[in-house]
This record gives sequence, structure tokens and C-alpha cells, in this order.
Amino acid sequence: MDIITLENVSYYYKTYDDEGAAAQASGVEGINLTIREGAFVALVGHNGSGKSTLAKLLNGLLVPNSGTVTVCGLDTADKKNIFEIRKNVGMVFQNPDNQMVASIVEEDVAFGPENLGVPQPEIVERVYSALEQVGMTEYAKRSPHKLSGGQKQRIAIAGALAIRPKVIVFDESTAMLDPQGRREVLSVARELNKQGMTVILITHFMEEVYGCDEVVVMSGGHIVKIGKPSEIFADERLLEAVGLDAPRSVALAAKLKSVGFDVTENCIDARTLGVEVCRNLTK
Amino acid sequence: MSKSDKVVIPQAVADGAAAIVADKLNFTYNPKSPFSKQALKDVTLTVNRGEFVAIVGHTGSGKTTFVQHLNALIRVQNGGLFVLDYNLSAKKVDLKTLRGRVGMVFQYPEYQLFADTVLDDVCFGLKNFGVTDKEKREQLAQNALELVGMDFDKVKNKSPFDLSGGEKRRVALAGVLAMEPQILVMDEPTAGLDPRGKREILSLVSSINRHKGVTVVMVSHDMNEVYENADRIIVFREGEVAYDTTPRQLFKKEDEIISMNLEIPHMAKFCNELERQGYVIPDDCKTVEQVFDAVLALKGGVGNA
Ligand SMILES: Nc1ncnc2c1ncn2[C@@H]1O[C@H](COP(=O)(O)OP(=O)(O)OP(=O)(O)O)[C@@H](O)[C@H]1O
Ligand SMILES: Nc1ncnc2c1ncn2[C@@H]1O[C@H](COP(=O)(O)OP(=O)(O)OP(=O)(O)O)[C@@H](O)[C@H]1O
Ligand SMILES: [Mg+2]
Ligand SMILES: [Mg+2]
Repeated sequence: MDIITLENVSYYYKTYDDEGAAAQASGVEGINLTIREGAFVALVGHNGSGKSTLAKLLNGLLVPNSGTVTVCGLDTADKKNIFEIRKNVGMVFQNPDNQMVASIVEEDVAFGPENLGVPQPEIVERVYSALEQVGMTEYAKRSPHKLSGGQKQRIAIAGALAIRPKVIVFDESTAMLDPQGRREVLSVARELNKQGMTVILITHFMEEVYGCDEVVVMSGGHIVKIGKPSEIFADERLLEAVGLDAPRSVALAAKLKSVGFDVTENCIDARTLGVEVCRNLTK
Repeated sequence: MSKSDKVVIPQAVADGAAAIVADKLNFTYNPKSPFSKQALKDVTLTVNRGEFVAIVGHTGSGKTTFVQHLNALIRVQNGGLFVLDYNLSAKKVDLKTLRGRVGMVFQYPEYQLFADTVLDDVCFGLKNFGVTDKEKREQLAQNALELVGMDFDKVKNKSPFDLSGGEKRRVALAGVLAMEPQILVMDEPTAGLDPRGKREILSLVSSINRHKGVTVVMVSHDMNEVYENADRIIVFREGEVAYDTTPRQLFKKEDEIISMNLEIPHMAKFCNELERQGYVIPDDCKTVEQVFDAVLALKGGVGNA
């Protein structure tokens, strides 16, 4: 079943030209995309390619200037749907500090459901099950400001989960984290997806894209390709054109293969590649 | 230097070899309060002039606290710190000239941008540090924006807040580069940049480092980029310097690196495996291309034997 459908969607930001007259800057143009319920979709593309704009169109933070965005069967342009749509699409952003609103973790996580008017006893239950899902139950009574970046992001994810969304969008939620924090957030995202959540992962780390079902590549406000990670990284011309890089290990594997080494294509683990290359060398 | 400061100027500072010398630098946030937090513990390190040094470490390890000392955004509480010929432990520091010479790119670019337009933003520092001619300023700003890969005419009149995340990062960097600092301090400068942007910005910074002799101190969580670009890596752990060594040496300690919340760069992991199996890989072999060439050389060698 399709949970999100975008049909010929364009969004323009209002700006001003040199003389101060109103003008438009294109955010995204002519987007057609459907996302299956339960899918794990990566959204990649150069800076300013329209990823965040697209993300904001998914929960009605922005409504399209033309075309339609349908989320769980609801048109985002219809004002009376907005509440329902926000309940269905959770968002986690880049800067962990900007997302903390309360001085105690459990209050922070409760913020979303409180705003939605969820009754108190149910809020408590939601907060604790969300904290459980991200593995942060023992931090419920602590101050979010004293946590590591990865922990803060897990609290932010719990906050999004507490509204019980069907879709969760990570907009570069790992960009500011140390490698351990990045591992934590990704494993939470994968776990949620296993439990049936639709996950949309926006990232500039191409390693993170492995393990996704589908990669949507954006450039200049358009979708330029949709495919499996292995297809995307095998397409050198596309990578060059849109300014993306295959992960280093994958790039090395491709180069070695091209000169006759017998190695696994799309080898994301450099140690495995090393083992394979040693086998080739002793042959 | 006034006598009352009672400091001994480190030799490396006196003869101009060092850009930065920290000697048992300590720092505690909110001292004497129940929330006090010691963020730096006896940090002792030297950065030589012209060097490209990376600082890595888990979140909260003290990286930002340390680098914010370097242009006196955070004042020294305890210990010694010389940057160029400024004694930052002294009571009085000429902040204005210091900040012209030590350019700082903040961890979160949204905290660095403030003007109404991108052009004004980049010009601000130039004006502050003595470029009085408006046309000259605008020319320098245009050069800097083009260096970081921005379309000048498209963005000059835009509000910096109306840019995408990566575009903000580039504008913040342009503002600092325009001032041609002697030391470039960058706190996670490539976080949020697209892969090509990362590559371009790092090659730009490397070239400024190599050709103009600008000293670079870069904080980063991206071990792959640190591995390829830094001459030396300093690892912070819970406010202390845990390692201070070359990229190749550092990432041979795989288990220790993982236990410090870090990761092994792809090419280091690959080379470590080959070395475990008895092959010799040259020490300066770090990028995909270099490693590829090294493997070809090994293959040739095997064939010849
Ligand atoms: N508030 C705004 N006002 C005007 N233009 C904007 C605004 N926000 C974004 N834009 C422009 O819209 C385009 C798409 O921006 P968007 O933030 O969606 O990019 P992105 O793919 O998320 O980039 P990044 O990887 O840098 O986060 C860019 O050209 C950007 O400059
Ligand atoms: N303004 C502040 N007040 C109190 N404590 C602070 C403040 N800023 C930082 N700290 C604490 O000091 C320690 C060092 O923080 P710092 O920001 O230097 O770490 P970092 O290595 O830059 O981390 P990250 O990788 O997350 O940016 C952390 O425990 C942090 O929580
Ligand atoms: Mg974005
Ligand atoms: Mg920091």
C-alpha cells in the first residue's frame, strides 16, 4: 500500500530580488514519488537540491504551490487535515540542541502528545514506550542538556515516536554526531523500520544509504533517479553529474574489479575487501 | 609581555615555530556550582606553523571548548596558552587583532550568520578588520563566496537564513576565508555538506594550508576526511589528550579507536588487513587512488617474484 504520494509537486519560496521586489526561489519542481508503507527510503542530493523542502511538504509544514501531496490518504493542502497529518509524520532534524524543549527528558518526549491533546495517563504510557524503543528509559528523569549528541538525538526520536506516527523522517539527524552516535541513530531507524514504520532518511553519508530499500536522488529541485543502493553506486556517470561519491570501500572495489581483481562489487566493509584482495594477491 | 604575568614564553613560540602551544590547560564550566563540569584536563599540545592538525573525539570530549580558547571566545581559566605571539593566559589580550588572525568557523553555522544579506555577512568581518573601501570589500567577499562554490549573483542579496543547511555552512566559511587569517580554526566545517562539497572545501583548505602556509586546526567526526587530510591527529577523551600522532599510526589501534566512540577510516581498515597478512603498504598511502596504486604495485611484485 502507498502511504505517501506526490503528484507533480512544485514549491517556490518567496524571496526578494535586487530591487526588493517580490520574487520566487524554487524549492522543488515537478516531483512525482510514491512511498510504500513500511519502506526504508533514503533521500540524497547536493546542498540545496530540495531534500528538506520535500521533507517539509510531507507533514504539511509546507504546502505545494502546484500538484498534490497525499499522506495516509489525506491531501496536505486541505487545512482540516493538518492535525491528522502531523500525527502521522514525525520529523527529526540535524541540530540535537535545537530540538530540546524541556528540562527533563520525559517532559521533552511528552511535548508532542501534549500538544495533540492526548489524555494524561496515555501520555505517560506513550512516553515510556517511546523511550523504551530508543533504549533511553533510564534517562527519563535526567536533563536532556547533559546527554551526548547521540543520546540527545535518540530523545528527539522518542519525541517524534510519542505522537505515534506511521512515517518518520530523519533530516540529516546524524550530521553532527560522533561515529558512535551515528551508529546509535541508524540502528534505531532500522529497528523502527523492522517493526513496520515507514522511514525516510535524508543524509550526506553514503554509507548510511546501504541497507535502505530504495534511494531517491535529487538534483536542482528535481528527482533524477530512484533505485537500489547498488544500482545508484554502480552508475558512475550519475554520481559525477549530481556530485555524490560512492563510499570509499565501494569505490576501491570498483577500481580493483576494473583491472581484473576478483572482488565483491559494492563491498561496503573494507576489511572484507582486504581479505579478498589478499586472496587475489596470493593466487 | 608585562612581568606581572610571570610567564615563561615557550621556546617554540619565541622562535616562531609554533602557532599554538597549550600547556596544562584546564577549563571548568560553571565552576563552584553544583552543575560544574570540567571540560578540559591538563591539555598540553603544540601545533606548528603551517601544520594541518585534526582534533577528533567523542561528543562532549572537549573539542569545541578547546578550539574556542584559540581566539579567546573562551578565556583561559587555568594553564598556559600561546597562539601566534599572543599570550592568552594574560589578563589583557588584543582581541580585535587576534580575531583577525585566527579565523573561526563555528560548529553550528546558524550561530555565525546574522546580517540581512549574504553579501553583508561576508563583508562584515572585512569591515571590522580594517578594509575600509566598500568596493574592495565586495570584491573580496565575491572571491570568497566563489571559492566555497556559491553562485555569487544568485545568493548575494538573499538572507542567510533563507539558505539550505549546506549553503549556510559555505557562507560562514566564506566570511572567515575572506579575512585571510594566519590560523584557520574550523569546528566540524563539513558537517551537512554534500559529498562533493566536502571534497571541494577540504581541497580548498588543504591548498590554502600548503600554498599560503596557513595553519589549520580542524575538528571533525568524519574519520575518512581526517585520515586523508591531516598531518597529525589529536584525540580528545573526556577532556584529555588521549593520542597525538599521525593518521596511519593512530588508526592501527583499531580496538582502542572503537572504544573511544570513533571509527576506522575505510582505507585504514583495508590497509590494516593487508598488513596483518604480511604485506607492506607505504605510510603515505591514504586515499582510494593511493591505496589502489599500492595494491597494483603489490600485484606486480608478486608476479615478479
Ligand atoms: N526559506 C527559504 N527561502 C528561500 N529559499 C529557500 C529557503 N529554504 C530553502 N531555500 C532554497 O530552496 C532550495 C532547496 O533547499 P532545501 O533546504 O530543500 O535543500 P536541501 O536539499 O535540504 O539542502 P541541504 O543538503 O543543504 O540541507 C535551495 O536553493 C535553497 O536555497
Ligand atoms: N556552556 C556550557 N555549560 C556547561 N557545560 C558545557 C557547556 N558547553 C559544553 N559543556 C560540557 O562540556 C563538555 C565538553 O563539551 P564540548 O562542547 O567542548 O564537547 P565536544 O567535544 O565539542 O562535543 P561535540 O562533538 O558534541 O561537539 C561536555 O560535557 C559538555 O556537556
Ligand atoms: Mg536540508
Ligand atoms: Mg563540539
